[in-house]
Amino acid sequence: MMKHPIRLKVNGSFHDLSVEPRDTLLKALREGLGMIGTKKGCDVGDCGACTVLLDGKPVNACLVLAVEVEGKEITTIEGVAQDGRLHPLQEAFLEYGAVQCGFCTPGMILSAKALFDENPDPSKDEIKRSIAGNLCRCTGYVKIIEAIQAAAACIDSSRPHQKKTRGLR
Amino acid sequence: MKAFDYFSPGTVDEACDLLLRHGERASVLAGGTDLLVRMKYGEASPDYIIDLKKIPGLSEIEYLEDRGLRVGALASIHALESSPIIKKQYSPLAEAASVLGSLQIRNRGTVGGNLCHASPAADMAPPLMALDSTVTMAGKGGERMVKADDFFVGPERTLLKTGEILTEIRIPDMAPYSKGIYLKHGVRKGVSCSVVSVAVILTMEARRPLCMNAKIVMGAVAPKPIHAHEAEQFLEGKKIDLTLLREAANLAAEESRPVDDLRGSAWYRKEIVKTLVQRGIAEILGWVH
Amino acid sequence: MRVKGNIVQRATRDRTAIKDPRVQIPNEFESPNNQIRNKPVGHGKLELVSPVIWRLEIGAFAAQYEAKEMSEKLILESLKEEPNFSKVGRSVQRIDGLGKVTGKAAYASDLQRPGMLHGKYLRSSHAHARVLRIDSSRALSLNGVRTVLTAKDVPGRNRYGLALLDQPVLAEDRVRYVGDPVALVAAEEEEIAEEALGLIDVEYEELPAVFSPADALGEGAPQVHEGGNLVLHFKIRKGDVEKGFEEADVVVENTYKTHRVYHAYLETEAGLGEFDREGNLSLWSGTQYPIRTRRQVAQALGISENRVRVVQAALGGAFGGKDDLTVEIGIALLALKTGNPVKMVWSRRESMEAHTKRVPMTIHYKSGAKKDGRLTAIEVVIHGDLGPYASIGHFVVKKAVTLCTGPYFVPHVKADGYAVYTNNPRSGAMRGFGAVQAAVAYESQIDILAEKLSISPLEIRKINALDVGSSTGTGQILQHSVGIKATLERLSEYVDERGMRV
Repeated sequence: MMKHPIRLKVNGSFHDLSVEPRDTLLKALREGLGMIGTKKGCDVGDCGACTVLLDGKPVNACLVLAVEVEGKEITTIEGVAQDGRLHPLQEAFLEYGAVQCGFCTPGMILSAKALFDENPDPSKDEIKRSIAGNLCRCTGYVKIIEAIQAAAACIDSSRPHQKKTRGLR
Repeated sequence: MKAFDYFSPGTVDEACDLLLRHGERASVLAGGTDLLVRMKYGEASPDYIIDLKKIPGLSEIEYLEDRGLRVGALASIHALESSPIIKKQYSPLAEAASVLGSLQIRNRGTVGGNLCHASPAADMAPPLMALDSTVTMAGKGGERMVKADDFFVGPERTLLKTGEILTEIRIPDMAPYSKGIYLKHGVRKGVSCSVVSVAVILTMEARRPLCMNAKIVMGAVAPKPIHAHEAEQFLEGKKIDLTLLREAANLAAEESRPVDDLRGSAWYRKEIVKTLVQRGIAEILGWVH
Repeated sequence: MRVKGNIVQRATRDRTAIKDPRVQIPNEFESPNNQIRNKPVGHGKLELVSPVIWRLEIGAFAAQYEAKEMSEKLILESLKEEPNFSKVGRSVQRIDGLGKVTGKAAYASDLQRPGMLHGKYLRSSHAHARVLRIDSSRALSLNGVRTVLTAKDVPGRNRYGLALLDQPVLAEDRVRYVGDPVALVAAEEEEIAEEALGLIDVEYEELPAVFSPADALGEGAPQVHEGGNLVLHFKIRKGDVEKGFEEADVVVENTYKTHRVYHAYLETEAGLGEFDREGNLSLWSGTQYPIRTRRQVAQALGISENRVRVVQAALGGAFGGKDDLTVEIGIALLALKTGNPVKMVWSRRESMEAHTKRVPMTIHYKSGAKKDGRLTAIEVVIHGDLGPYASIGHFVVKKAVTLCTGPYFVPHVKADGYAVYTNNPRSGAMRGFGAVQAAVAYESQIDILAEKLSISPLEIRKINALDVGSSTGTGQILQHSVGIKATLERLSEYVDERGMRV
C-alpha cells in the first residue's frame, strides 16, 4: 500500500510521518508519534475519548484521516500544560475529583479548553453542551462540570474587568 | 478499514472526473463523519476516496440582498449553527444544526454530506425543505439545480448521478411575518439520531391571527424526509386555535409512514409527530416557550 | 516528545529512573499501596531499534513513570506540612491524577514494545456448534501474519475459569456462544491480523441451542456442558414460610426480569505480553485481579507461576467487567509461540459481543404482609443466565439470594437460586454483583404492598427496616452499624420539611 509522507503540526511542533491513506489521525498520533494521551474508546466518533483540537476546534481524531490534516494546527492533551505548568483545567480536574479512571479526561479537558477559547465565561448549560460529545462512565459528570466551572472562574480572575475572583477552592 | 487510494482534487472538474472514472469504486469524502463510520463497520469499502476539501469556494456562507442565502456544500454543521445570518434569518436551520450529533461531529460534518448521505433522519433536510431551498449539483456536463424537496429519492438515495457532487444550497428569504422552528426527538437530548424530527415554518398575515402559509416537514418517519402536505394545506388561510392545532397534528401523523426499528415503533413515532407538530406551532405562535 | 536532539539525553535520564525506582522516596513515607509501576523484566539495556520505536517505548513507560514520580513528590511535600502526617478525613489528590490529566498515564491499550505484534481472536458465529475442521493455511500465507493458533497449540491446560474450569482457551470440539474464541492470530499490524481472521476457514456443524435458564433446566434440553446445565443451586431457609403466609393479611406475587447490562468502560479490554530471554513472562493488562490472572495464565501455558508477572496497567474503567480474564491468556500464548511481545486491544464491538455482562435474572417473588405493613414471609425463586461459562456468575446468583430480603426484617424466608448454563452471551461480575437484580424485585414488591395496604412507601419501609438485633434472611443477628432506619428517619424529616408527598 502506497504510503504518503506527511508533516503534522502537533502542539506547535512539526513531525514528519509516513502514513497510509486509511490511517486515522488518532492512529498517527498514538502509534506514529507515540502520543498516547489521545485515547481510543469506540473508534466511530461516539464517545469523544479521541477528542483533539483541530485549528482550535474539537474533533474526533478517529474520524479524521492523517492525510487530511497537513498544515493544520493539532492540539492534544500533551500540549495543554505549558512550560511545565498545568493549565487551570488540569489543576481543577485534580482538585475537584473530576478524574477517576481518567480515560475520558484528555478529551474532556480539550473540549473545555476549546470552550474557554471561544467563551471565557460559560454558563453551566454551555459547559454541558460543550462536553456533550464526551462520555464518562465513572464520575457521573457532576464533578467534571464543577471542575470546568472552577477553572473558568480561575481564568476569569486574571481579567481585571471580569467578575470577582473565586479562586480554585 | 480496508485500504484505499486517496485523492484531493483542486477543482470541481477534477473531482467529477475522478468520480466518473472510478464509478462505484469511489466515494466522496467531505467531513468523514458518515463515510468513515460506515467504512469501519465494513458497510462501505471504496477503493478510491475523493476528498473535496481542497476545492476552494465550497464552504462559504454568503447572504446576498437580492438573492438570499448561499451555503457551500462543504460548510460545516457548526458553521451553520453559529452563523449570525442563519441564526437571525433562517433560525430553523441553525436550530437543526445545533442538535446534530456532538460538537466534535459538527465541527467536521458538512451540510452537503448530511444531505448526500440522505438518511431519512438527516437533520439538515427538514429545515432546508421547509425553507424552499434549491441545491446545485455539478458534473462534467455542467450544473443542475433541483429543489431540496425533490433531491431525496429514498433511504440513502438522491438525485446525484455518478460523477456529480453537490456544490451549494440556495435559500430564499423567508416571507415577511414568518417564523420557524426545528424540533427533534431522540432517545436522549444530545448526540442521538432522530426518532422523529419536525421543521415548521408559519407565515402569518400582517395582523396575526390568520396563517397565510404553513410548511411542515417531517424527518425519520418515511423513507425520506417529507412534507405533511395535507396538514400544511389545512392550516392555510385559517386562524389557528387549539382545535385546529390538534387537527393539523393528526393530519401530519396520518401522512407519516414510520416503521418499527430499534429506536422506536411506528405507533410511537406517529404519536411523537402529533406532539412535535403541536409544540412547534404553539412555540412559533408564542403560546408556549 | 521531541523527535530531534533530545533522544539520547532523555534516554539517559529515564534509564536512571528506571533502574532504581525507589531511589527518591524516603522509607518512612512508603505506603502499602505504593503504586510505582514495575519496569519490564530484562529492561536493562534499552536498544535503539529505531528513532520512532525508541520514542514510543520511552513514552509509554518512562514518561508515565516520570509523571507518577512528580505526583508522589508533590504529595510527599504536602505530607511534610501536616503536623500529624495524617490525611484521614481530608481531601487528597489522586496519586495517579497527574499522569491522567497530562496524558502521560499509560493504560493497557497505550503500551508499546519493540518488535511488538498485534493479536486477535477469531470468534464463533454460532451459538452452539461442533467444530469439525479449522484450516489456517490461507491466513498463514498472508504477508505479515506470524502465527495462527488453535486448541492443539495450547501447551498447558486448555481450560480456565475463575471458579470452575469450564472454559476452553480455544475451542476444541465445540463452540458454545456467538463469540466463543476459536483461533488466535498474531500479525505485524492490526489491520493484517484483522484481515487474517477472514482467511481462517472453519467448518461448523450447528447444534440445537438453549437460550433461557427455564429451557435449559427443562427435559431434553441441549446440554451446554457434559455435566448438565445447572451450575449451582443455592438456597436459604429461615422459619416456616407456610406459617408466615397463613399469618399474612395480603399476599403479592410477581415475576421480575432483569436484563443484560454492559459495563461500557471507556477503554476496551487490552493488554501486552512479553517473554524475556530467560523465559519469564511479563504481562501488562487492564485487569482487576492480577494475582488470579497470573495463576490462570501460568496454567494455560504450562509454566510455573513464578515465571509469570502480571502488572495491572492504568485501567480505563472496569466495573467488574475486567474481573475475569480477557486478553491475557491469548497474548501470553501468542508471545510464547512467536517470541515477540504481543498486544491485543479488543474493538468496541468485540467487547460488547464477547465478554461477560451483568447476569440477567428472572426473579419470582412472593411476599406476605400483615395489615399494619409488617412483612411475614417471602418465597423467592431466582434463575440466573450465566451463558456457557460460569466465570463467577453463580456467585452473583448466590448473592442475589442472600440479599433477597433487602434491608427489611422478614421472619420466614424460603429462597432458591439457580445459576444455569445457556448458549447466550456470557455473564459475570458487574458492580452490584447480584444485589442490584434482587433490589429490583424486593423494592417493587414492597411498593406494591404499600399500595395494597394504603400505607406510604416510606412508612412501610420504616416499619420493616432492619435494626441492631434483627435477624437477616440468612439468620445472622446484626450487631453493629445498621443505618437503614436512621436513613429513613432522616428522609422522613426531609420530606416533611419540604411538604413533599411520598
